[in-house]
Amino acid sequence: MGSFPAGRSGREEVRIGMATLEEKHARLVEILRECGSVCIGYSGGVDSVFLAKVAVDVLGPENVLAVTGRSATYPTVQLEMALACVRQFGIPHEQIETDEMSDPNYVANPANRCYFCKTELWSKLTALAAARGYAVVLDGSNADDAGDHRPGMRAAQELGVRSPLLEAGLTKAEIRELSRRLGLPTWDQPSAPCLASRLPYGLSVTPERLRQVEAAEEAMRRRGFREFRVRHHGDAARIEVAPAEMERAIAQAGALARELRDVGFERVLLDVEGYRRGALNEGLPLVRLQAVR
Amino acid sequence: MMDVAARIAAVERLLRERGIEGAVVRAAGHESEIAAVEAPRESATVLAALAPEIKALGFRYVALELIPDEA
Repeated sequence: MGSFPAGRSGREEVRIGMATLEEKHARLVEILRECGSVCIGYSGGVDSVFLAKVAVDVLGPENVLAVTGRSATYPTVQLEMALACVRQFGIPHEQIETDEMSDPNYVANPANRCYFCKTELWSKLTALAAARGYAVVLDGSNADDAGDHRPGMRAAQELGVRSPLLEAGLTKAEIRELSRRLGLPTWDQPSAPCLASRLPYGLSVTPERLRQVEAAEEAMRRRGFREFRVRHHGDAARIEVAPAEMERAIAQAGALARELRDVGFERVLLDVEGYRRGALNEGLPLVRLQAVR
Repeated sequence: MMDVAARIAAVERLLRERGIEGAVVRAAGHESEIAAVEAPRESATVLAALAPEIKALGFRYVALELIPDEA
């Protein structure tokens, strides 16, 4: 791969932080070449689709395997996007089953829940990569994730998983821009973390609760909402929608309440502050966050 | 921290003082962490502006209780 497509204005230069977007992209290409052959944790989200596409372009499909870990926490809508992208861009792909739900540490839903889930995922992926002869296992963490509460990143580090997007200094906004230039359908896709992220810490993760969240969010999508979360608070669903969609949510309040009750919630609540990333971390004392990183 | 009933009473008092008459507040969530306000839908913007003050009374989230319509 010689260069990536230019922006709308031809030789447009996007400078964010110290390095330009072009420089960061070049660094990503360099990192992938150093790796030689790669096995990528592939969720079908913005980051992993971009990483898999660039890896195939740089290393060739024979040196890339994208692997999706499936379990009750993985949304079906996300799998559909993941499969559409591998078909469209010729990305070698496999699915494996992960079994985090059998780990009581995970099910108890502590603030470092992601550590237990990612330990399960990366253990399976590193074993698969070793068996198939792939040199390095990669994840799609980006530069924005470095300052966030991400206990799952510790599991990746412990198992030798590399994060080339983060290493290259690429932020989410920059990955979206590069994805747009590459024609990836994920470029403006809202972030879609696993379904367990909708349960507040301390509320146990059960298949039934995950099914409720998935069904409730599907009902929201059918009503045209794009950027939102349905948070599970036991008997209550707390809806967060993006500020631009708040007025519509209020207008459809009665229907939303009915449809979310139909999936098993006794109460339906609309958060007046709207959608914000990591809202369930708001209740964690800083000292607790630092302890579980 | 105040008990749940006291926190609810404090929020209802605050809402009355800020002109939201007749609002009913209930706690929700497995740790009673949500101030769920039953009030006219049009109150959402005012509630959003008051959210920091409501949270300071001991809640983590502030939400409008949605009442289902007929199918």
